[in-house]
Amino acid sequence: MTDQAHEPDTDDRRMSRIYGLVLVVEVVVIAALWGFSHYFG
Amino acid sequence: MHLVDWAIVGVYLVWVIYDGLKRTKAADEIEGYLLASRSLPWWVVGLSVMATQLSAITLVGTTGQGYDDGMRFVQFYFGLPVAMVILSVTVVPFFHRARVYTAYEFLERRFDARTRSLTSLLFLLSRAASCGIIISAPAVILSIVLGWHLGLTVLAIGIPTTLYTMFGGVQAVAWADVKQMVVILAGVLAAVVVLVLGLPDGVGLSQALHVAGATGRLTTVDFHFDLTQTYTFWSGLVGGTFLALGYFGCDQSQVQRYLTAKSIDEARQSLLMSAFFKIPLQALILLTGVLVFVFYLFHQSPMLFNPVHDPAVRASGRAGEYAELQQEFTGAFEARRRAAEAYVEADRDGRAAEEASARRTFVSSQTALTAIRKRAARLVMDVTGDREYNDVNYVFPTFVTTWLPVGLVGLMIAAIFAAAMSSVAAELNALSTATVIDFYRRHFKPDATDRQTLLASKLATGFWGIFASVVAMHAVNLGALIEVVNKIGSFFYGSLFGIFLLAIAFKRTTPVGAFWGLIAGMAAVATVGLTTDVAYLWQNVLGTVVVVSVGLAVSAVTRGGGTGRPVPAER
Repeated sequence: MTDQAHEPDTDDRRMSRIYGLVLVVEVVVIAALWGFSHYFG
Repeated sequence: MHLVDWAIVGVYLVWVIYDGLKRTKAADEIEGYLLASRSLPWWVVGLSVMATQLSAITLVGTTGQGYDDGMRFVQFYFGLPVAMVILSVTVVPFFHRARVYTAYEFLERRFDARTRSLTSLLFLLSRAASCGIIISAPAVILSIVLGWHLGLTVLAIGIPTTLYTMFGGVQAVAWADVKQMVVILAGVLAAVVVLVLGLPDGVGLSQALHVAGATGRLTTVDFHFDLTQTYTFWSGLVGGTFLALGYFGCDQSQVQRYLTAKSIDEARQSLLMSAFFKIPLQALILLTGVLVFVFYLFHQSPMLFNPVHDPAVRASGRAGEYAELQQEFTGAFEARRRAAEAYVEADRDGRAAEEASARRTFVSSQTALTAIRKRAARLVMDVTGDREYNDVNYVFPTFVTTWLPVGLVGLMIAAIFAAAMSSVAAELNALSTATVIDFYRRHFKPDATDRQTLLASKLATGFWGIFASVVAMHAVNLGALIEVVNKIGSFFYGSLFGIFLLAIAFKRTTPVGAFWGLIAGMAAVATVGLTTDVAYLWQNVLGTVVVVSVGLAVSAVTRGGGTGRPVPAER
């Protein structure tokens, strides 16, 4: 068992930005799907 | 199948085994074998996570669903990105800092050995059965479509997968997953290109989509709130979030993928890769199925896509009736083709009044054709005595073997093998890890050396590989049991996530509370699943809520009874 001391610190600020981006992209993708089905449906 | 296609499938199978084993390093140490010495880059882990989830049932079944029902199934994945963000913030750092081999090992550190053993046992039971079915479903389809013996297709999936998982461990699995994702994507994109190029003259992609849209197949978002409806925006977003939390956060076959990452952030990024790409990827696979539907508007399709019952029906007393249905189907197909062409023409020319009328004619011709297919399916069930008949899983393989050019058939068959093998390898790897770490080294031989543990892991992988292949050969006769196994899986995840939520978010939870919370959660989901029509995605929400509520209530009563003390870390 290796100890935990060498575990690199996480870059919380960068990760928070990526989380935000994930949620924004999801909203955009769902909106695009909705628009797609309305245009062709 | 042409010799070239056979060669492509053969080269693919050899390449996966050879390259998987070649890339394996330090697999003679237990941490290297089971966790790749926690050294893999995020993109390898991310592709492995995606390949594990994308089984052959997903590839073949989802395209079939797109053909039959359209794109509404994409809503099933709406909760996934939300779940990935929640998991990245919560369980990923916990698991990494705890340096565990299995997700369930963490539960002993937080609660007690009883909770760890129960959750690990539930995982083994549910996954061992489903692993056989993951092999069985594509093996049955490929055996019928390619005309191979079922045993041969089972072994063609089972043997190479077991070999590279057994000798290469998790690294071979992860690197094979990378290649398998590439093959799957290449296969799907090639199919889309062929489908678009295969549209008749005068029918562009836009007209093709309008025709599909007229039948409701392009409905992707349904905001209607109905607990009994399986796929809506709300069931996907809420129920799908809980399902994904359970699957990616607590199922060893997924947890083990991101435990191999170099660091906490790399593990997080590997999960977030799915968060970005899963919905578009599933939409593309469903759209492929929709395009197969459009393709078959203009090219003669079989009345029923699963031909296995044909000889029995033709030899029965109702053969004449079946032949009449076949004739009726051919006539209805021609009527639908003409209606589709008229609708396309009106749509292209922008004649609104004619377009509306042509659309109505086309939709009613589609309804008539569907009714004939239903009558044929009922006739098959009457003759064979089967309780249900569903041929959606045969639509895509039939299209592949009938219409794709030489070379692409081999690529698509390799993609179906790839999808099956990537999921099965991850399951075998996870089953072996849980067996050895949670039972062998925890209960039977706590003083096992790394060498003994490694040997036990390889033997366990081999055992689960043989077990899954045997289950796969028999699962063809166990139609109803397949449904049972799926239901067991769906009540397992919500409850399991509830336990991890208690472990991480509620410090006052006692071991007794956690144990009885888990029992109560599964009992509640089983009761609701068996006695009501509530769609299964909502059962995941119920499982989590009941586990947490009962767990906290029992903890409040029994506080002081359990230590919650962490046990020493495993080697």
